[in-house]
Amino acid sequence: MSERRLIVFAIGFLALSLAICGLAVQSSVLDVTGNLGHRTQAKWVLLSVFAAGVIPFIRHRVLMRHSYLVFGAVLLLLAAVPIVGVSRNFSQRWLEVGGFSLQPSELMKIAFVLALARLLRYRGDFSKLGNLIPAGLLMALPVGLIFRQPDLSTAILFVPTTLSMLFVAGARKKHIAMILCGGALAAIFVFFFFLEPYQRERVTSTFGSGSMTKAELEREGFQLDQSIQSIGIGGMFGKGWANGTQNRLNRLPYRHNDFIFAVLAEEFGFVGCTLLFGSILTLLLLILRVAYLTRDTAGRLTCVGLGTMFAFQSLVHIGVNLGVVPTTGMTLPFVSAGGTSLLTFSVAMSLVASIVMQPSRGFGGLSIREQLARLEAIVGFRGGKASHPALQQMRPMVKSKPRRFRSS
Amino acid sequence: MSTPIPIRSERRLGVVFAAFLALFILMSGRLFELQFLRSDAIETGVAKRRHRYQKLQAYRGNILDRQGRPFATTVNRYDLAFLPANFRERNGIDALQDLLIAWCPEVLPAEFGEIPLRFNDRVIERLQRFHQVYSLRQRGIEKLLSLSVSDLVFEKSHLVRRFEKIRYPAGELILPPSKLKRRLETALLILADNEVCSTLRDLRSRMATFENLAEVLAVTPESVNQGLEDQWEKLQHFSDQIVSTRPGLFLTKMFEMEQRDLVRVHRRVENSLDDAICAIELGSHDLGHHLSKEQFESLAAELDLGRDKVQELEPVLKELLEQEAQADNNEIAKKLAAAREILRGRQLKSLAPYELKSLARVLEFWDDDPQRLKRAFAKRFKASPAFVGRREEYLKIEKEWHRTLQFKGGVPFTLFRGCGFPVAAQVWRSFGLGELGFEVRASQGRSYWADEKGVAAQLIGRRNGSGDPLGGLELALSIGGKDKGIWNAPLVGHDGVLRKRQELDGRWRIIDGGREPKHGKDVWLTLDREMQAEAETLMGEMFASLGSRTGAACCVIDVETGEIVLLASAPTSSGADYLERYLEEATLRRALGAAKNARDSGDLSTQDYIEIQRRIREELYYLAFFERSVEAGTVTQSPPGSVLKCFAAAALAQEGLFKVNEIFDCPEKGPVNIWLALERSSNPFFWEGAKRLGRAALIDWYQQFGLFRPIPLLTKQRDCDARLKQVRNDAPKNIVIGQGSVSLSVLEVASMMTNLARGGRCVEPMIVKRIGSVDLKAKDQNRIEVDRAIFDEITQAMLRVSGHYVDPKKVEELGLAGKTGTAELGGKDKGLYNAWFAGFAPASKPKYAFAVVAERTGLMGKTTAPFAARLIEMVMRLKK
Repeated sequence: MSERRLIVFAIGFLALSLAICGLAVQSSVLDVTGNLGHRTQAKWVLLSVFAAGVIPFIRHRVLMRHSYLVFGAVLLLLAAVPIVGVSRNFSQRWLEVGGFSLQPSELMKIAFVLALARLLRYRGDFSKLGNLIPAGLLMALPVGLIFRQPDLSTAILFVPTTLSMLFVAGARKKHIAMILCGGALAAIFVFFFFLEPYQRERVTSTFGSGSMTKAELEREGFQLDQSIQSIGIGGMFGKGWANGTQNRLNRLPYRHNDFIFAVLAEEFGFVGCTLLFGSILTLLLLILRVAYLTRDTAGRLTCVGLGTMFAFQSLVHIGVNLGVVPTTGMTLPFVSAGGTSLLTFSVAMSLVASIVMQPSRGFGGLSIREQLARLEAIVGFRGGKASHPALQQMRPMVKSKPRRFRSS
Repeated sequence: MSTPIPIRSERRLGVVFAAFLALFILMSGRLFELQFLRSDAIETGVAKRRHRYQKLQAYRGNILDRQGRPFATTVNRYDLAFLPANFRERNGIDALQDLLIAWCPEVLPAEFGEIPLRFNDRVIERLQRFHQVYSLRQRGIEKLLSLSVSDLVFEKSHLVRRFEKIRYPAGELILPPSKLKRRLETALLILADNEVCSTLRDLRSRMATFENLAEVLAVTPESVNQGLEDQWEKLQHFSDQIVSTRPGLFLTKMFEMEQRDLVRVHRRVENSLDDAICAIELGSHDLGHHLSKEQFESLAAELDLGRDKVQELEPVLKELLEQEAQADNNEIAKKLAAAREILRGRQLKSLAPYELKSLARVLEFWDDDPQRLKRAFAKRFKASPAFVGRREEYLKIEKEWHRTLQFKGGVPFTLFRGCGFPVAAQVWRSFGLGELGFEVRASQGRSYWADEKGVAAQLIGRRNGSGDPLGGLELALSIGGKDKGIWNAPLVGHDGVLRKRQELDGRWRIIDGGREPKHGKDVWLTLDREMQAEAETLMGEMFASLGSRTGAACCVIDVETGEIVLLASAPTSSGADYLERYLEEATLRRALGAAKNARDSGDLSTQDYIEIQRRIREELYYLAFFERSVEAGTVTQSPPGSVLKCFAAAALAQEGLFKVNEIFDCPEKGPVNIWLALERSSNPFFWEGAKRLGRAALIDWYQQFGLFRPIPLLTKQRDCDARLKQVRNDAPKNIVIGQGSVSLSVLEVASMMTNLARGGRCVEPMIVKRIGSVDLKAKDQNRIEVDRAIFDEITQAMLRVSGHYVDPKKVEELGLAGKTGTAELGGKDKGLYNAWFAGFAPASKPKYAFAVVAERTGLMGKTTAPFAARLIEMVMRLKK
């Protein structure tokens, strides 16, 4: 099996494993309250598997060609949310379409990565800070709309994604550092002047719990406290599936989505969590490996963007559950309940698979082995001997026997 | 064209991965900390919250008479209580109202949303709304049940908008918005009221299965309507039959209780906001401790809370009275009750300065009241521009507190207190009150023998509604202490504990590790209840016939065993009077406390304080709250008069200060020797005797006979010491004839007489015969070195005294040896006497020692002698 096929298989296997693990935890969570949400989640898993199977048949280049269009369409959906969107938990983030709830901010994650990858693909010179401005503007549009919903956590997710894509695209380190410092200052400014009171409370309850009164802790740090307790009692091997005290006794609110890691930690313990960390990191490693292998700039940047999005979201979710990041409603990719989120990340993984499976036709985007195969097709290669002197020089660059390039 | 990717971008991919790897390692570290380093502590905390401890109340021990018949027993009682919040949460009409507001507001009449929100009208509004919803129930139910499940929007914002639109008063929105969904689901279950859809789980799964609300709830409009009508019927029936009031009035009463709950919540929210303002603006909400005296006074002056404004109490009082009339406010009612206690019907002008100060304090008028200062500061701050600028911050605090406090419990309103189980269960079951939020609560009551007559009421004491002992033996036998041994609160048991653990299915299961309750021990007294009742009747007769101003008392002690046979007094209290008098006594004691504070702070001179103390003590003395046969000597001045001469004669004779043949020329009684002096009660003789004996020796002799010696459960060492201290400073002339500062109760005199009758073999009187299964015996005390002949002479003299004042036949029959005492009183009671007669019988072989007193009477001691004879006769008759 070639490395590319192996990568595709591994990505699919890990993503599906995470989704099944999510389903198992969901069924442990939801039967307590009488909701049958894990059945809905199972339907979403099937839908996501189907979507993930279809995407690789769409050429990456075609997607890239229409990435601005997709970005614009999702942006319009995002803009429509404040007008026709549905509110839940005092946030207006959803659109109701034919009985389905759709969260445009989730779709925007992919659309943005594709659009930014296309933008950066044609901008090779990042020696000046000014050249980063278009990328910043592209990010500002969705971030602004999402921030207004309000959905601070999703909005923030776009920042590291943009930075990592810029970093890989060749932006100078000092510029990245300057942006990070500027971001930190902006964060302080935003904290004091733009955040809703409840958002500020969450920050203070995470970092300032020591100075809070008992009443304040009960009021503001309740979820956090419960989450830490859930994780703490997990121990080495956990309490076992559907045996978590905190879970079964309904002590942890929103544990089917925003606090699913706490349930997992309680029921599967340190071993389960380590396996989860390993799966996430392996998935990230595979995505970055695809980025490494591909010679297509846009493809590489797409992989970096999607990988960052996936890993950062996982990290924030786990951090919230562990009480090291302010409490925010961030799902754990593939594991948390939430159809749009599951679909988004399944599509993202299949995009990565399509990148690795569909090499670019352009010379510049081909690996040396593919270039060699193409040359052989042109100049002729028979019986393992290269007739052309150019091929003689290239041979040492390819260790294994090249395969014949099959043109589609 | 694609841009060639710089070679460094491949290295940067590694940097990206390394960054995430590092972050995940950090997360793993935190995970390790929680799951290994802190796991034990966390697990303990979680396990603790899974456990619940239920108190198993221990029974209080009974107080029995010497034959084991009860004076006071513990009985099971039940209260039928009503919790306003439960009523609101459980009745179908309120449930229907919520559902209609959420999903069918068009059914509600237009004026439903236009009801004014004036504070005082809320109870009426609530009643109006309740009636309105009930009247439109048919249309409402039909409309509601025709809704499809997809029409049921549980979104918080939607619901909050709906509830606000209908102008649901903020205070009445009984749950925070986050709980609205649960509230509506519960309302649906209340309407369903069947087994098919009885839990939230049923409801949710049925909502996922069926499309129509009627199908989800498995009801028809008719069945729901019938359910509501049944509930209405129950309420009506309950109020008609049980509460004996009209249904409207009953509902009004319940809604008033609800309103009080709301007011309570609002007040706590206001207080917390004031706390927050002071904490933020002044640095502490505890102004009393945080601010220095200078800061405090300057702030008080700035806020115009001057100490010199005490004369302006009148408008404050008037305002409070108006507020009390307008609104049903517990706080105001409490303040006014405390004020009335101090005023006691007097005008402000006639109050002493210390009483004014006390009044100012209870009305919270003082500038040195941190609470008042805090409120004034917060009020001023709320009106300032600074508050407007930071309004959002403070509103947030207010909102959060409101959410935290809203209907955490509610105050139960007891409809029936202390009824028996059959009554409580019958009422509760037959009216289906469980559905409406009523509940039967188990409690313990105390039943007293002949409570309406109040036999031994002061001696036994009573318990209040909360079960606290109020006085007498109930209190004395409830006081514990490690060094008290068998006297360590014998009546009080130790409550048991039932341990329960919540299982993963949510149910609570009883587990090991609980503790059985340890019930209080039964206490057997030495008294006989029939004898006690007769003695009290006799004392009542004596009290009335001798024209006593305050009361009469008697005590009889068994000379052989030291057991107290009788401790009776008049007037007596019935059970109800006892509580009333207890409150009166508390008021007087509070006034005494206020005077003491005023003296300590320099507002009252010591001289004035002593005068006030005397006046209050006199008032206390007129209360039938305390047991005067025991406490008369300590609560107020009760000189025993010439009764003490018996003991003085023994001392003088034993010391040889007067020979039998030594004649003393008494100006009033003629020439007397020592025994004649005793018989004729010659004061000059005993003054001379005291002079020869000296004060210290005299007191020492009296003490040998048991003067000021504490008696377990009845007299305290502290009180004895205090009286002894006074006597040590008094003149021997007063001491020897039981006048001046000498102050004794009939119990103490009877105790001394017991020791005399026993020929100087002293014994400690006892009132408790048995505790649990342990029999007690009286403790022998000192032996007085007095010749037998002297005791015989004294007995003969006492027999002769009895012969003067009691029918000689009876004296002979009973062998009654006694000594009169006519103690002169001073002050307001000048010209009145405490008339005593004390002694023992039969003189030949003493069996009972006794003392009888008629207080504050215009008559001499001899008048009480016949009553003493009747008392001893009765005791002897009943003993047989």
